[in-house]
Amino acid sequence: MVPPSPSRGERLAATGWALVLLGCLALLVSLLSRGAALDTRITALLPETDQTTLLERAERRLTQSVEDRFVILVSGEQPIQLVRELGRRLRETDGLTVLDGATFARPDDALAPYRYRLLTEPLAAADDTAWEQHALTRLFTPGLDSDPQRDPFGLLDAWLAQRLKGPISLVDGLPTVDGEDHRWFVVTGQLAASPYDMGLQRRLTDALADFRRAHPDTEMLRAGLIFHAAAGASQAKREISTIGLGSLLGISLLLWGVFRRAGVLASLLLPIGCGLLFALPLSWAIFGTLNLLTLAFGASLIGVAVDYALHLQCARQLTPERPLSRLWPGLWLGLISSLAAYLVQLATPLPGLRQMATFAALGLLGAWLTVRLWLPLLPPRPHPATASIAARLDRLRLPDQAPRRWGALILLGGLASVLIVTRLTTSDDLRQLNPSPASLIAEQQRVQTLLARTGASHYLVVSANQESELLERLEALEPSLSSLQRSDHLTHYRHLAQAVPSPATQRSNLARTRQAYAAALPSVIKRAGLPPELLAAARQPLDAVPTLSVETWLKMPVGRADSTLWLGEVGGGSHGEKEMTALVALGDADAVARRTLAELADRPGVQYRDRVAALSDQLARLRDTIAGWLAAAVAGLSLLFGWRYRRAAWRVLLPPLGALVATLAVFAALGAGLTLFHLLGLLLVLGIGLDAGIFSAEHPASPAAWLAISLSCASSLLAFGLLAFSATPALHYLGMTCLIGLAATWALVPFARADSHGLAPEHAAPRSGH
Amino acid sequence: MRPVLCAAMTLLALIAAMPAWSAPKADVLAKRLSAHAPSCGRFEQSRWLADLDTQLDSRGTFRRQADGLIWQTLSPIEDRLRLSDDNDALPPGLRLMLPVLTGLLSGDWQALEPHFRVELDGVLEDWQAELIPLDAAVGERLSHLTVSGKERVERVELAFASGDRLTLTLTATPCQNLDDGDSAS
Repeated sequence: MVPPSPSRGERLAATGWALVLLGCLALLVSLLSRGAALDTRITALLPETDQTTLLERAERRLTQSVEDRFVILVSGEQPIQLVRELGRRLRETDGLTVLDGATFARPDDALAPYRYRLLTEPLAAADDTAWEQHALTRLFTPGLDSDPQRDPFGLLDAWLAQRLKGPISLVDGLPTVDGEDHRWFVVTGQLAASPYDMGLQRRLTDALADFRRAHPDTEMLRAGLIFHAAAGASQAKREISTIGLGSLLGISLLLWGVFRRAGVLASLLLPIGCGLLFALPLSWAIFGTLNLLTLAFGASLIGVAVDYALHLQCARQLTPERPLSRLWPGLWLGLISSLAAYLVQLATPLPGLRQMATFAALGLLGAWLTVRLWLPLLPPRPHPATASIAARLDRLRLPDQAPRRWGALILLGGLASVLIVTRLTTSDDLRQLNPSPASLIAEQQRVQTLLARTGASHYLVVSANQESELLERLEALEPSLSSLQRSDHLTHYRHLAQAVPSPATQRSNLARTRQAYAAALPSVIKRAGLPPELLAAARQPLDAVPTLSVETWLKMPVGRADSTLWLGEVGGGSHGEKEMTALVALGDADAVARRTLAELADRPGVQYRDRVAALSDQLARLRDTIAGWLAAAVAGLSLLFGWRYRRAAWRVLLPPLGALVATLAVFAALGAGLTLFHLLGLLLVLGIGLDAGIFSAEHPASPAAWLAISLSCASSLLAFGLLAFSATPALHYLGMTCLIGLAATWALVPFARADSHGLAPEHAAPRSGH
Repeated sequence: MRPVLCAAMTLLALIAAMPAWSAPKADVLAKRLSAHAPSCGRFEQSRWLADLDTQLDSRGTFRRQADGLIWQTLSPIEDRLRLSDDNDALPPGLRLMLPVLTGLLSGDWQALEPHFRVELDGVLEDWQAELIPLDAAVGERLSHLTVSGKERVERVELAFASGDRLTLTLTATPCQNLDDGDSAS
């Protein structure tokens, strides 16, 4: 029987859909020509901080200062020429600047007028005799110039040596740091654009590669987000071209083997292409930017849409005489259940996940509309091979009476449940998700150790009503922090009160200095045999000593680096009032230090923030939320299926839920901690399993449905299962889940179709009208 | 024939003597200094303060120990310092002198390399070394640092950008004699 020619309404709808897609194409072209940014951050998939605005600002401040910078350590023969050349090459690179040594120079002149208010603890606590001895020592031991008139007690030297000492020293005006066996020259760069800007990444890596080629013996260590982002992007590209190509080839061969008609193959890919064309520009426009990971996950999820085309084409190839209207209820349910599973993610606070859900849902809708509106218009031209393959496959079914197999299935199910209950663990360690190559992480760690700098993974936020009170609060933290550092629990820390003492401290310091100038200096002059008129000249600057303010300090070249620690006036209080706020940057800390830091946060105006722990915690909560929503979605869908299929509803639920249990059991047996990304994989398994279940229930006796389900499982296995070979941990977890879950889905479908010969058609599908 | 022979002999002698006329090699000098490194000694220091137009003279003793160099000023004031890398209490100016005093005194030439570029001059028996600081912050304040001596470091001269000068004269003394005569001064 020739299918009825399309009605006027159907033709109109098909034309309308074509117009919509044309509009999407135009939008995509305009977005591409505008050069909208692609993002490769894995953290984009993580929750937006649900903290107060104060913490958000702190976080942004700190991460930005870390993210937009990179450091290269260079060592080799004639290092000064090397560094100059590297600097020149980098400066010629568009989109970045190289910081010069001025940032590291000693701020002698700038700080000189304030020195009488800046006392190191030993001096502030010392008595007049000790001050006197200190001044005499400076005069009579060999060393740098001692200036008994301007600074007889060497206040500035002492201050700079104690408060501003760092691992960096200048050689020929270039910053250097001493390693274990040799000296490294430090080149610091500042990015003008996002570290995720792929053009900038390419230009920087090219410039470094050129430099390396020109000086193959030079040793270089790199640190900076841009290098990790570039590595991630190139790995993603590599995997798209290997894993992606492999799965595309596999799927094409599989489908060609079954259908043997280019037209049919094209009709299977057409919905996916249209789905992508529909989803890509729309989600790009909605979110302003697209994450590469979102794109990868989302495109994979849209791959589920091949199911719709497969069911339609299998039915048309094998039973062209039957009206297509029999298929619509199944396709409808398939779309609704998949949409429900994906749209659940819109409820999560993960921007990346929301992006992905939107992308996948739009793509599914686009693909479904293409299947519904366009594919029926194409003439079916069945190849005889398709029918014979379907017939052979149809022999793969459960015998009518197979108590042993059912028994085995139930036993396995029981075993799986026991495994899940007793052994399933979860894993929330963010570091496991770090997609950077180990060598790059090691390089970064070496640089951070040499420079005594760490990422902004944890810190203290301190706030107060006034700058003076804020500085006092920071000073009050000093004893605990320095004792942690002395006892090696904390590698280092930095806060503004180290450079700018509170006004109260500055006042008492000045009083102490004045007293020393009055009591100790005359005796120093006498004992050393210095001219007596020196006394008046040395005391003269003490009459009017300016107070060092945070603002003044941050304006000095050497203080500029501290600007990341200063948030200034921030509306962060619980009642929205403005408060002065600063950060305490913290180095690596052990458990003892973390406990102490958490205790410090009990003080008024002090908060402790451990970003890694907070993010891990959020990931865990998120995983639980998604799991909860999924369970709710499954319960809701079960009700829907129960209403439609009555006692046959188990046929729908067996493949998806059985696969879910099987996958979780395998992970439990392997001892692999369940992450968010395993859960995303399960989402996919669930989507395909639901389609399989729905068509098993709708058409339990149909060889076409079984062929379509088999092809759907096999092609999805090729598309997602291969991700198990990805080096990106997140994709690997997703792939493993799909590999196990889809295999289990396919293995369970024969059970879902079992005993269908004996089933009355109205039992199988009471409302589909056959 | 004889004048020719004479000329040839002179030439040979000159060639043979030439290495002695070129600047001494750092490693040879280091070996020599290390062989003669004094365990103890006396120093005399004179600091010229240009601004004040004043000269401050002082003297004292030094003693090399496993944990650093004990630098003891005896006159006009009494002061005792332990010069060592692990002594955090050292003022930064003194820290600069660490490699010069602790390193060079014992012939440890390598101690200088991370901090100075060294230009050697003279002969092994009477040498001088110009030390140019690598740290720009130090270089800005120190215009000149010269060390000279024979089989030991004998003299250290510093000239500062401010016009100040500092001269240090070192004499090796057997450790047991260090305290002799100090009480007199």
